Amino acid sequence: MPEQNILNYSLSELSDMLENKGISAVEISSAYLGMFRNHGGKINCYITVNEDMVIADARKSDERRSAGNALSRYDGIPIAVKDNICTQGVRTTCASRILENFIPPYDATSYAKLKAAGFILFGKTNMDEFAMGSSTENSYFGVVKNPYNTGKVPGGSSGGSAAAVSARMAPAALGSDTGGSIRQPAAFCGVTGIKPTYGRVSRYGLVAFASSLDQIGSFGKNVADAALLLSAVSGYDEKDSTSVDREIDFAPEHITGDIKGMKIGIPDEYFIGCSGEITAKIGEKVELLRKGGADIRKISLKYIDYAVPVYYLIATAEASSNLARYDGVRYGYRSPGVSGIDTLYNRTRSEGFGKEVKRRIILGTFSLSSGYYDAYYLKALKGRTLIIEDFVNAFREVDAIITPTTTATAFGIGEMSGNPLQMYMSDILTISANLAGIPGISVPIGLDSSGMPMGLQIMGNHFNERAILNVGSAVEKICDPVKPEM
Amino acid sequence: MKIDKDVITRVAVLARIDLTDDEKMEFSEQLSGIIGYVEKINELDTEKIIPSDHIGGVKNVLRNDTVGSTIGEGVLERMAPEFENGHIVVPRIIEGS
Repeated sequence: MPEQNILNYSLSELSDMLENKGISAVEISSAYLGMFRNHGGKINCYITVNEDMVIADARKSDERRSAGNALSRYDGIPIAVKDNICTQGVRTTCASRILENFIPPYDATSYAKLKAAGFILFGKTNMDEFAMGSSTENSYFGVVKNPYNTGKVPGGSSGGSAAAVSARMAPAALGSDTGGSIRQPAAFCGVTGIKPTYGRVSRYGLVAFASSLDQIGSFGKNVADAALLLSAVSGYDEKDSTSVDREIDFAPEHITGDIKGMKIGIPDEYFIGCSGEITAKIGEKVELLRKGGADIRKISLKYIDYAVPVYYLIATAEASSNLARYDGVRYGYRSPGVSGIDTLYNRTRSEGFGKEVKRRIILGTFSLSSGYYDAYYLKALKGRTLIIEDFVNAFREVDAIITPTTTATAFGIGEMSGNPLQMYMSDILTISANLAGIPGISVPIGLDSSGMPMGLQIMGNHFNERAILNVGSAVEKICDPVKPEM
Repeated sequence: MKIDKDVITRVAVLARIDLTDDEKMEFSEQLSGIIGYVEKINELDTEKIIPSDHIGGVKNVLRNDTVGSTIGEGVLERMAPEFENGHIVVPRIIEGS
């Protein structure tokens, strides 16, 4: 079996090959390890890959299947996991110095589900520290490069997961999305990325950034792979009090790409400030969907201009509270040689956190502090209500909403690092879905004139992942596949 | 609102983060810009709006009080920065012998 072919197989093709004995789990993992050895250093998409463990796990999978004991038809397929998802016995750093050597004593539920189905942990992917960023430049373990152009960012914060799938260093990956951290890097790296409805995937074992917004989701080379991986990690979990018990009705066999009669909304507000090429390409695809039988309607989502302000007040407030636990006492980094408990806390945090994390903790602490709480944090919570209502009204009219994922394709490394506000603005089209708790997906629709991938975002109503995956599949069918030259 | 160096200093104490003078200056400038921008929310009429600290549908979840396994002392010892005789070691917090 030529290695190149293995790298291009979808998850269901890999599963078929494994089940029909045409290929072994060791061969699949070896092919991906080969890519990692050749290109891993250049792209820097992984923080941890334990090659011996990957091969040992693949061998065990092959033995299970030979004995007729495969854990599922996907037993033996390697998956990359973002480094803020706890993996028992494998260090989970959140790309932070403060957790540089943290080895979780338990598995996140999402990863435990993968393990139970026989998926193999290929590696832990690089990210913005504590998922705070839109470019994966804020990592203690170095910047991640875009596989299409190593002078450009992969997006973030799940930039490592997106780049790994794009560069064929993993068949699929888990990421997390608090304000666009799956969809924006998926768009920048030419892969499919989906953030499900809030509550769909357990957050148990996901290192918390902003708990009311965080969701785990998936990256795939195509829509079916993203759907498959998402359905594998979805489901009720008593360990997450915000977990929701709903039928999982979006496994690949339910995704037909049939959009006949489906009502799809196009909000003009989401195209303001968008690059001409992206606007034109999305217009072209929407027209094809109309010809394919979709009922395309203009809608209005009038609060988009308030999404970034509302988001950065709420997310940083929640982060300042969530990150209080890193104090150098029980686990993680501790500043050496200090006397006095206050000095221990302050030095540990000052030395352990990177600049963007500190900036957000300070911002969040400010908006929660006495005298500012009502004007900033409380006002933002009310703004969030208006954004939620905007979507509730929209979904009375339509089944799905199509927008660009980003206003522009990937920017240059270092281009925005001195200007945090400009960086925050790059999430403008993805943030509202997190505030409203609705699912969103980004599907690649081709390359712009500079050769960088463009993404189309589809948002759906709560627990209607099936609708957005169906539209995503329909879009995929009318687009040429993209792949970076490696 | 301008977030001056004094505000940054005060907030940094609350956040238990030591900032250098240069960092305070940098954050003062950047956070003033960010706060200036997010003040856009003041345009929203929210007089009758109920705040959403969640997307809704969140309720208390109870579980059965059953005996289960917990994280063993050995694991805690490996995770802790400093560990001695079954205890995590921290700097002395009470003065005395």
